[in-house]
Amino acid sequence: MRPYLAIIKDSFREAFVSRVLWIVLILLALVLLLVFPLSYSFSLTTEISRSDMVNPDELFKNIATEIRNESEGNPPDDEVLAEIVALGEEGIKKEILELADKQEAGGVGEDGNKKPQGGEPKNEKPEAGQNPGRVQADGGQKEDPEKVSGRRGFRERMMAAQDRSDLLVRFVNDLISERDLSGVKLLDGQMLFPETRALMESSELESIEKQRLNRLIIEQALEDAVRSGPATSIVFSYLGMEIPGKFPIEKERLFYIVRAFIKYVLNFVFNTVGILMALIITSNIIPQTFDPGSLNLLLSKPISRWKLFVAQFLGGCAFITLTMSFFFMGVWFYLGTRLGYWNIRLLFYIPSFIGIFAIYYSASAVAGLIWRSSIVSVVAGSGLWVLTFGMYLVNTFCETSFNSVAFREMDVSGGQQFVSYIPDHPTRLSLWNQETGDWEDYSRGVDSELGLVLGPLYDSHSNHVFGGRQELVMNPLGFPAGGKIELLARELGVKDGEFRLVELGLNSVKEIYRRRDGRLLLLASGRLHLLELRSDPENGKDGEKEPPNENAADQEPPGNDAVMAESDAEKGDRMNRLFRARSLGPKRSIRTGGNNTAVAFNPMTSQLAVLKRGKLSIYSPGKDGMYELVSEKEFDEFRNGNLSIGFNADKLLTFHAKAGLMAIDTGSMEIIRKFGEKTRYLPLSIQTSNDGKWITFLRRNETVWNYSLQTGDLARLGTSRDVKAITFDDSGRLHLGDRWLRLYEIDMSNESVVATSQGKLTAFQSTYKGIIYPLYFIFPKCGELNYTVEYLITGNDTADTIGTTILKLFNFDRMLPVPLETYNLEPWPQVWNALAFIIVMLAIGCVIIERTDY
Amino acid sequence: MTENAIEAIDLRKTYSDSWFRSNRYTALKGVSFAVPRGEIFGLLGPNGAGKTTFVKIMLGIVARSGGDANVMGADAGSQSARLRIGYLPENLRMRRHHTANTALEFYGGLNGLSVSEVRKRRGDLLKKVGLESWADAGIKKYSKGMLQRLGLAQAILHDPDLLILDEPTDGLDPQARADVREIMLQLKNEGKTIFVNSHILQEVELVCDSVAILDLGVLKYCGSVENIGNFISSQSGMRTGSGITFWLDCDEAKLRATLEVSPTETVTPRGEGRVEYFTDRLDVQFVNECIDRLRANDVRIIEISQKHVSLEQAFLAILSKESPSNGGNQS
Repeated sequence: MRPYLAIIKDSFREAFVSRVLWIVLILLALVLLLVFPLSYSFSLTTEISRSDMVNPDELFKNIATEIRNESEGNPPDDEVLAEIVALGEEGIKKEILELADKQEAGGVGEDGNKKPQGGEPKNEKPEAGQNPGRVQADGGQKEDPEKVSGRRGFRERMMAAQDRSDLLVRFVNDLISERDLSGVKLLDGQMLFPETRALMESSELESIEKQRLNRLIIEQALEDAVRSGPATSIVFSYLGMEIPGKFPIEKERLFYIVRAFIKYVLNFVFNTVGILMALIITSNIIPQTFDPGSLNLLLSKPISRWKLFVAQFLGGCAFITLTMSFFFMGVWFYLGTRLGYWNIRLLFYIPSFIGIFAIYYSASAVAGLIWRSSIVSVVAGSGLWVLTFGMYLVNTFCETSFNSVAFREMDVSGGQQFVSYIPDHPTRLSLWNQETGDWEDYSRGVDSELGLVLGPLYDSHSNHVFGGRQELVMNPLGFPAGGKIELLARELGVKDGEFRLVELGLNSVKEIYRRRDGRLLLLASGRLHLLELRSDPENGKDGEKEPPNENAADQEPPGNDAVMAESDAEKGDRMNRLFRARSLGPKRSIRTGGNNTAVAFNPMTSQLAVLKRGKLSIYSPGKDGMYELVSEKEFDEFRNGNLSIGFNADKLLTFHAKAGLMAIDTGSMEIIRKFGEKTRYLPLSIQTSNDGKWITFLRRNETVWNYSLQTGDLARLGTSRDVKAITFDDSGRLHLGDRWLRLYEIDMSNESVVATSQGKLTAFQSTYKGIIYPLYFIFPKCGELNYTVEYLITGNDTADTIGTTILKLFNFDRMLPVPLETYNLEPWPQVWNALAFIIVMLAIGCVIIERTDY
Repeated sequence: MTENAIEAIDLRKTYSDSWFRSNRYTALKGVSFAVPRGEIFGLLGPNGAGKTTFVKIMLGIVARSGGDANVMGADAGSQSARLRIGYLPENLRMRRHHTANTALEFYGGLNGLSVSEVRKRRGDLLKKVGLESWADAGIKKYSKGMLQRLGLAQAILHDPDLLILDEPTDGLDPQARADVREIMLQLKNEGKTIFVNSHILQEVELVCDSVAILDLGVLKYCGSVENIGNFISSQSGMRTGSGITFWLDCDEAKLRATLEVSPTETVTPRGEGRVEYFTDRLDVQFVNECIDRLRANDVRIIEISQKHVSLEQAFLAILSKESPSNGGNQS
């Protein structure tokens, strides 16, 4: 062993003597020294910024209305808002009123559109021939864009919107900084946020804490208008001097960004420039060794040749290890001492980088052995880098293309009707055609950037398939805001049919559920609604008046009857009058807005579970079918953080970012089992079987897991891999759709596949499946070694994409209405793959060195 | 323990151009000879004779194609054989980051020596090769001669029984050559066997006890340096060996009547009543006896001269006898 240790030791010695090494070390040390004086501190977030406003135009309009009501002595439209307005500073209120009057008079509406002179009455019905689905929240109509087209119109709208937002922010921040809202009964009857409660219970509050309390009260009082941003803001300082500006962020998010920075920036630098430099630095080790003058001497020593080669290879790796260890340990030490982020697992980046280097260096070493040229050695290493990167790009391109036609949501229901959907584009759906044995485009009429965000769900009662369409709305300031979700439907079996808008007169539809009897329920406007055909005899006369909603706040605006009146112009649009929604309660509306809320429907009992800010509420239908709150309990575990839930029979399965996976008995309202599986990422899909036996969920790593309600056990379904979508059919069989467009029907009693459907693959898809994917599979996947590190650091099997990370950096994840994109962290395949590649390359080198006469 | 440090029996080596080409070149064509322990042995031959191949087979750097070879009783090329060999290659290069001290640590380590052992030995060793004042200087500052001396130091660092020196005095100045010769003789006195592969025949002649001459993969001579002249004479019938020539004023019959001419001696009439008598006996007593007898018989001695055949002459004589068609073959 001593001779080989001498070789490795010699590599270290060479590293120390190398000028290049010292230059690199000095540069890295300089980077660390420059960063070291950068420090930070946290302060409580008090002020509200523009981006915290969900819909500033609507809030501005409502506040202006209340100011008018207050000044004219009218009863308030919204009591909470009226109370807030009453506390407002008179000067700002006056400015709001003036701006609202001025902009209305000037023709720039609060929706950002120029209004016709003289204004128009509120809540006016849509004109004949216009699509009622385009009716705005305030009842006004979008004006023909041509009227306000051009840069001038756009600039005017931008300016007007900015003025309104600025004034609104001033108004709210004045309340926060100058008033004491703790004594005002804004939150009567509501469960306070834990932070709010803690501050209220505190006897002495500092000024900033009082302001924080005010902000929390505003947040909760205006829950649907103001986002609950990070509780803390970060202030940076350099060499002890504070850098102006506060950035709202929580410590946990800061560390997330630090990890992301290391992952993307440092990795990018090291995996490109770093690898190339490392290859250049080490490229001459093997060729120099195999120079005849020194090789003969080495080979004359009592050492094994192949061990000499492997030792030289390890020596090169040791060389790089030294440099990388220095830098990453420096970064780790900096993060610990300056940012308080001590995470020893960050040092996993050292072996990861060495692993990546070793892959390239193994090819470089073999080339150096054969051609005994440093240049060829560098070219070989760099060539492999280009090849692997190219392979990665090709695979990513193909996979992205392939994923775009993979199953996303599907529904198998309706007896013989076999309906399943693959979005090829967000707006496209497909229907399985048993005759052709392939997927048939079924997306005609769906017209949305986001495609269907709800459904598809088949209604056997009406023989229609339903979906919810949402448009990604950007407010005039450029912030994304969740648009209203509209219901679409298409009748099956109708030639040249298309999806059409179902106008039910409801505000945004939150969820669609199917009861065990096949009827669809809609969760909208805080209540459940039964979707009915107007022509059903059981529903009484056509056009029968709906029972009035109990909660005034959820009443539709006058003129927007639950069932739209048919006009002559609408005769061609039969969909508008085929259906209606019958309210099933409950009396007190279900509040599902804001973060930290999850809703689930129980197909067995038709109950609805709502878990919001730690409070679990179970709504159950009475004998008359009307829903009432039957039980409620608070769980500390779920107060903060995103969550998802699945509900079947008497069990609720909760997925929580911090608390992990738990089962709750909804009878006793107790947590009956903690599975301890922690993941920051919620499942892609949770499905429940109609027979009350299973809650099945699809994890982001594309594996399927079953929770048995009978045994209470959780287990992965067989060797499920690459699953893109899951659903249960009416008979309780599970259907899985995988990445290769195969659909499996699974008998849950024995987990056996009882039927398989395979859609036809295009030439591109076949090429990918047959050639590119297998090639990529055996090729070293250097970039993916970082997945392993991320898995080891976070313990999660999914990770945010770079786009998601950027969105999170700016807290956009709290604003966007759609789930952010993640990718799977398969931690080990690429490790075995890398090891296999290195071993194969070294084996080739060993055979060559053993068989060559030098 | 065998008497020989190196034994080669019908040693053959054929090279191929590459793994995929059929061009082959035979470097050794059944070479057999032995190197006795405790001698300084020289391997001679022109370029392409197979000397380097022979050395590389002994060191395990190339694999033999046939025959057998042993080094210090072990199979040539095996690790146990290499453990007992100190090797100084031709055109030695060392990694430029080393100093003499660290280079000795490295090569000592390759020979299985611990750092402490190397540190114990290296002082004396560097003094022996005249590099003690350069011990901590970087190798990149070394002249070729210094590097060669350091190479010699690393070769003897682990106290091997056999030293294989490939062109040990190449690039050295006369003083350094003398120093190297001195070291070689010292090592010989310590009982080491030294196998020298060199083109500088004068150097070989000065230090070697025995030599082997290879030409185009065939062994032409193996024996003592002293006997090489006789070997040439016996092989060619020519008087190419060392001896004494008498120019005498008499005829052949009178000479033969005066002296007892042995078969290894020659008498050649040179005209005008003169003959040339050559004897390969160089001892003084014999020469004096010859002179006394010639004088006693009134034979006038015109000239007595001594002839010495150098190794180089012998080498050239051996090689000139061989026609190119008898050399290495290509197939």
